[in-house]
Amino acid sequence: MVRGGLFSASRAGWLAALAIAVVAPLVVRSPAYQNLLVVTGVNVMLVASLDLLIGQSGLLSLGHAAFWGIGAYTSALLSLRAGVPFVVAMLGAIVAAALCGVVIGYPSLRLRGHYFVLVTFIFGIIVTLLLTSLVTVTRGPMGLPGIPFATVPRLWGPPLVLNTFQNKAGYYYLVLGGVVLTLWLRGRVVKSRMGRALVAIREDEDLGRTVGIGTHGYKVGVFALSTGIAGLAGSLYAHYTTFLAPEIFDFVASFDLFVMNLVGGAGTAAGPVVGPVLLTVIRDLLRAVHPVLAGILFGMFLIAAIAFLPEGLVGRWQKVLASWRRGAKDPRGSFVRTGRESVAWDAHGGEVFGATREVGKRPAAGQGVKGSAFADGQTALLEWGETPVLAVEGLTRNFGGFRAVSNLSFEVFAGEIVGLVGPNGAGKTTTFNLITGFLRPTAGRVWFKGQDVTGMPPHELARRGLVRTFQQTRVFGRLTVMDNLRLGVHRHEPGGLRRGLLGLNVEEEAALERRVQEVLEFTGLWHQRDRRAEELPYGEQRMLGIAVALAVEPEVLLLDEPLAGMNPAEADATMALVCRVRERGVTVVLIDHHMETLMRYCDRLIVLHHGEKLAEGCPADVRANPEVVRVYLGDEAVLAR
Amino acid sequence: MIEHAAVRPVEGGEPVALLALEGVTVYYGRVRALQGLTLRVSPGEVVALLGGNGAGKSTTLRTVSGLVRPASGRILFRGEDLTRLGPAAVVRLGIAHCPEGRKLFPEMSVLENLELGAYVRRGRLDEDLKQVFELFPVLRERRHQLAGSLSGGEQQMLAIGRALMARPSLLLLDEPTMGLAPAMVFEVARAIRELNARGTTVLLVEQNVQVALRLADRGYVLENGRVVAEGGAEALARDERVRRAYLGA
Repeated sequence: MVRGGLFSASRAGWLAALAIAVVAPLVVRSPAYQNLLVVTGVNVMLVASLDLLIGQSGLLSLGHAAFWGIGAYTSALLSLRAGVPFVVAMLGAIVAAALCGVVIGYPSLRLRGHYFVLVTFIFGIIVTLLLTSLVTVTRGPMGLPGIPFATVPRLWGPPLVLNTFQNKAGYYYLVLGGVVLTLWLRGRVVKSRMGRALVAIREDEDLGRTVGIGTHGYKVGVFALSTGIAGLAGSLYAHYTTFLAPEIFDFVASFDLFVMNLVGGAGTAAGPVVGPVLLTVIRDLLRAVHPVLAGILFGMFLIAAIAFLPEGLVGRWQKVLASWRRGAKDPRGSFVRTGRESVAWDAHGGEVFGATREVGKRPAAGQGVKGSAFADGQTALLEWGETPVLAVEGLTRNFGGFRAVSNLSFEVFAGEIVGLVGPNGAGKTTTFNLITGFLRPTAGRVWFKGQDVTGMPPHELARRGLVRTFQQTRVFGRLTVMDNLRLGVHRHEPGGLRRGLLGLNVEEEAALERRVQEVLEFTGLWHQRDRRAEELPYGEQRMLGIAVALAVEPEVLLLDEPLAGMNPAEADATMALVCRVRERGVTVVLIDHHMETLMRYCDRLIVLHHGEKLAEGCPADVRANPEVVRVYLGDEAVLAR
Repeated sequence: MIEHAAVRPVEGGEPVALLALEGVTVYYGRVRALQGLTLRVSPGEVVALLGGNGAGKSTTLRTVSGLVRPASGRILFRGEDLTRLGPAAVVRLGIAHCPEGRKLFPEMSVLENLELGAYVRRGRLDEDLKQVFELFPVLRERRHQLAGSLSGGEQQMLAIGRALMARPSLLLLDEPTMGLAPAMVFEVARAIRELNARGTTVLLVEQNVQVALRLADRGYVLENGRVVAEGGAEALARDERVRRAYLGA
């Protein structure tokens, strides 16, 4: 959905590539070149499956060849020792490799950062060691000869059609079938709901969790899929070469696959074909010249790719095409949409800020807000509904010996806008993290809609309607505004992987697009829908962060410093939007330091100090509280001249 | 605290601006971030850059400090052209940049962070440390603590203190009060005023327009990489257009 638009869009390109692939063995008749075709096919399968991890999900695996090896040895040993037919051995290879993927992936994918890379790297080394040392099973370094050729049961067709694949050209078509299957599967996954979840994981996993994506499950799932395909490639390879040795699947092989993925263009649609085809052929030519030289030059390819083509060949090509099409259009925008300098001032006051400022406007009774009674426009709500929509009770969190949040209790009622304020380091963001499941409380409970949700993971809370934003501007930067929103509606998307694979999700997709458009119009970002999020001006990026959270359809929205870095006029415009969100029945809790602005828009303020509640009440009372003035508000007099 | 650089007179006796930008244009890729920006800062002033997000305020500071190369125009510091100089050379000339988001070395102590600020100089640092600690007494208390363990306000003080260790005659401050609690905002503002009173000229980018205009002598309003208004701080604070666009209700 995201990248590779040009190539995936051009179905003709794929058909042409397929036509070339089909005709290739008829043109190159030399056995050496036909051999190269088969090897290339296997490499395309491996790189395409690896790209599901690296390019699609941002999970760097340096042990992919190990899963290829597990598939190859499983298939070979099943055929040799158990005498099962090829098709059964092949299925066994897929299952074995995918199972190993789950066993390795389940624990290691919980860890962040470089651990997954290390685990896959070490796993690759262990597999090579085992294949070498389990001599009784694998014959170790002597290698495993005499693997039977692939044979499929004859189900149809005239007796002239070969059902064994002894000649290279015939086997090539079997591998081509595997390639087509792999690429088709990959295309469907990328376009499905799962594909979107994977992109979210790649771009910003925590943000993904806040929109309701169970990231760990998706990571394990895609790892199993990827390793399963590697197992299939292993089986096809084993029954082609009919001889296996451990060093075929060692670290160098994993590394080669990584290089092919990078050079082709990780995350692009055509990259996993272009990379292996190009590099397999080049490496073969180099080997013919000098085998050691081949290794050195291959390493240099990687260095060159990282230095000059970090986006890969296909990625670069798409960039060139895109900038060529866009022409010299200046994509610059402004938070306040002025455009022409001559009228800039009027546009500021009149169109944007003037029109949207609806200070203190509250929802009318019966608009989905329970039990709220208004005194007048300026003071806080005095009577509350009997059940708070969000409550924390004795919430405590220690970091080592430091108590960041200490026995904190407060309630938030439906339809309120509550400000959480306090000095830097008072525990405000920690409180948000505890409520939304990013941190586990040391003690205390969190209640949401009358249910105890303490310790529930962020994506589960998001699904129930408790959604947060982050302090720093956090959007999926490399995705377009539209695609950011599409990730936001993830939890409302009924189409699972199965429906995605079968292409049953057309109507659902259309409904989602309408919702995306609605939220973008509501937040005034519709005109920027096709821009990449990172290209937006700062203020609109912040707005997009809120829009993504709104797309999740929260009942309670927690905003962490939504006004940071805004001048008072921009802060006003943002709070006007928050008021409109509240009018739709959403309860809002926000952290910020713009006291002047908060005073005007919040129904209630809660002041934290050293992790404890220092004061709570309507803004005017809080402001007048001498303790709050002392620790938080300070004395403006120091600025007097 | 820092001795004033000799101000060279020109014909007519008017002093050369400490800093002058003349028609500076900067591109980020295809995007023109600054469009022929012209401004000047006289010795001893506090000058504020105002404007919405994306107006080019931070880019202006980054261009002066050599982090961004202008496509055209000149940047003069005491009449010397520093348009083609790199960041290290600019610091050596006496311009210190205190970037947005503070950017400390969190795993180093307060003292180590301050010492690194004086990296471009040789000689003893005792006097400079004393001056910084006078300005920010809390840093003296915490001098052996890791910078990452300080509160937001203390980190901002350390970032300013570190910049001062280079003994700059011009300090570029980018959003020094961003994300700070109100009391801390006043504390940082007080320190800026004090370091200016001790002789450091300040070019300030600040979203908190009330604070900025109370600290500054003069201000420039930027929009789309151009100066659209300029004037004395009090005049700007009274200006109806500025009020509507940046001060809110």
